[in-house]
Formats: sequence, C-alpha cells, structure tokens
Amino acid sequence: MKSILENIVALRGVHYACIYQDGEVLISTFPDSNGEGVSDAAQAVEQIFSALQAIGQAHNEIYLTIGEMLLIAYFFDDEHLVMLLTDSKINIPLIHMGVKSASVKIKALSSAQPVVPLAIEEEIPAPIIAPVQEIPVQEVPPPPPAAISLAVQGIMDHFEELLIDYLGPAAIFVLEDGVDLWREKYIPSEETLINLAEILALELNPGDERNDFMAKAKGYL
Amino acid sequence: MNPEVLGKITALKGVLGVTLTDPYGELLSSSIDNEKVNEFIAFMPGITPVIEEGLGLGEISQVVLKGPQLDNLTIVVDKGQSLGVQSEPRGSIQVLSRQIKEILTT
Repeated sequence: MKSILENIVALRGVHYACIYQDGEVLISTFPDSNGEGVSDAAQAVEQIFSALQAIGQAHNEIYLTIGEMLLIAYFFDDEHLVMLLTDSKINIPLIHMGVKSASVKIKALSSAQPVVPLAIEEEIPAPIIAPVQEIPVQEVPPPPPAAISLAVQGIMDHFEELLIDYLGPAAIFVLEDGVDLWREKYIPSEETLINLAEILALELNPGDERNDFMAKAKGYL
Repeated sequence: MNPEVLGKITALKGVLGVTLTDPYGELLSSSIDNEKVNEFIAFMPGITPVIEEGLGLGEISQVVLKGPQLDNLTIVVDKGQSLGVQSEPRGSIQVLSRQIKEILTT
C-alpha cells in the first residue's frame, strides 16, 4: 500500500495523498500533525459521494478549489477514497489515470483474504524415524516466472486493444499492472485468461462499460 | 447574485442549467429540472466547512464533480449561498471554472 501511495505522490503537482476506507485513513503522506483533520475531511468527502449516490448520481471524482491548491478525491469500489492535495494547475487526466491505475492494486490488496490456520482436531504422534546422516543441501534458485505462450500473448494483445477503446493510451499501463497481478495469482495459460479479463474489467466503470468489455473479452477465449 | 450574472453563466458554452440557493437551502433561482440535484446543491454549503476545518488550508471556493456518463456539476459556495452549474460532461472543467470565476468577480 505504501508503494502505491508513493507512486501517486510522485505524479507532477501532487503534494500529499491518502487512502481512506470505512472511516479510517489507511495510509497517508499528509503531515502527521494534521492526521485527525485529514480523516475528518476524507469522511466529509465520502459523505458527499454518499449523498450523490442517494439521489441516483454516480459522480466519483471531486475537485475542490482551496486558494491556490486543489483537493482532489476519487471514490471507487463503493468503499475506497483516494484524496490528493495538488497544485491548482495540474494535468488532471494524468492524475486521474495515475489514481485509476493505483485503484486496481488497492482493490487487489483489499480483496486478499487473511490465511486462517486449520484447526487440528486430533494430535497425531510423530512417526519414529531413525536418525540419518546429514546430507548437504544445495540451494535451489527460485523457479523462473511461467512463460506466456504465443497463443496467450495473442489474446492479451486483443485485451489491450479493447482497453484502449475505454482508457486510451493509459491502457498500456493498466494492462501491465493487470498482468502483474494475474501472474502473481494464477499460472498464465489460456484457461486462466478469463481471470485476467476480470482483473482488467475492475479498472473500468461498473455497469455497461465493464459488461461490454467482459463480453468482448470472452469472445477471444 | 443578480439575474444578469446568472444569465451570463447560463449562456456559457456547455452549461445545461444553473441553480442558486440561499443559506437556508431555499431555491432563489433554478433552471435545473432535477429536484434532487437542486437539493444536493443546497446541501453543499453545510459540508464544505467540515473539509475546511479538517485541512486548515482556508476556504473552499469551488467544487467540481464528475462521473461516468454524467453531467458535470460545478458548485460555488459564497457566504452560505450555493450556485450550482450543470454542464456537459465533455467540456473542460478547468475552462468552465475559470469562466464562472471571471463572471463572478467582474
């Protein structure tokens, strides 16, 4: 999460950023002295988005002018808020795409379930093994990442073309991030390409856009 | 805010409607048909002070909201009054914000 925030703050014109969820600032680069105040501000911004949802308006970007600064917040996944303090004259599409790209990683981190240890019902006695002579073990290097076949790469290229229709040039970065996540969770193969499509779809607006992408992506599988 | 000012803002390229509310949320003038959007515009002067106090960076002069396939909403809060401007989503929010600011300050 820290590296995600660092990437956002690295965007030109961004001074501070924080990620907020469920009434809590998860991580922030705002000055520590203003911690509680930032949390209150983020909560108020979340209330604005909630009020909009209540009247059937799904606005998810807000730009507040404060003197010569801009407070920008993006609300996604119905629970995460990324809030940034920036210069007033900034490249908004750049900031938007930077945060959109980060949102995929934030969602993936949030959805990762903690590992629950299995309950041991009965204690099994350890087998009695005769002592053996210690054998020197050679260190085995970690396995190389699974190779992507030409067929899989071809379908990934189609996914990229589809993404460009929705996201423009930023699709390249979104695909890279999506593929990284996919390779962490799945073995790249034709069978798991559907999972890559699902990861990429999370980057698009819920509803028609996402459904449209999934329908077209499935057409290549 | 006089009717002439509202007329100038309404005439800006891409503007679809304008609503002005008083500090008590009453509609003073509106060309936005959606009653709920007007209520939201009236709600904004109540919430922006919380953000101002939290950040301690000064007053919020303008708020712009954007969303997928939705009209943009620009809200100027001044002395409890709230001026809401609904505009086409494809227009530049920065250009429109600057134009509104120029009209309000002249």
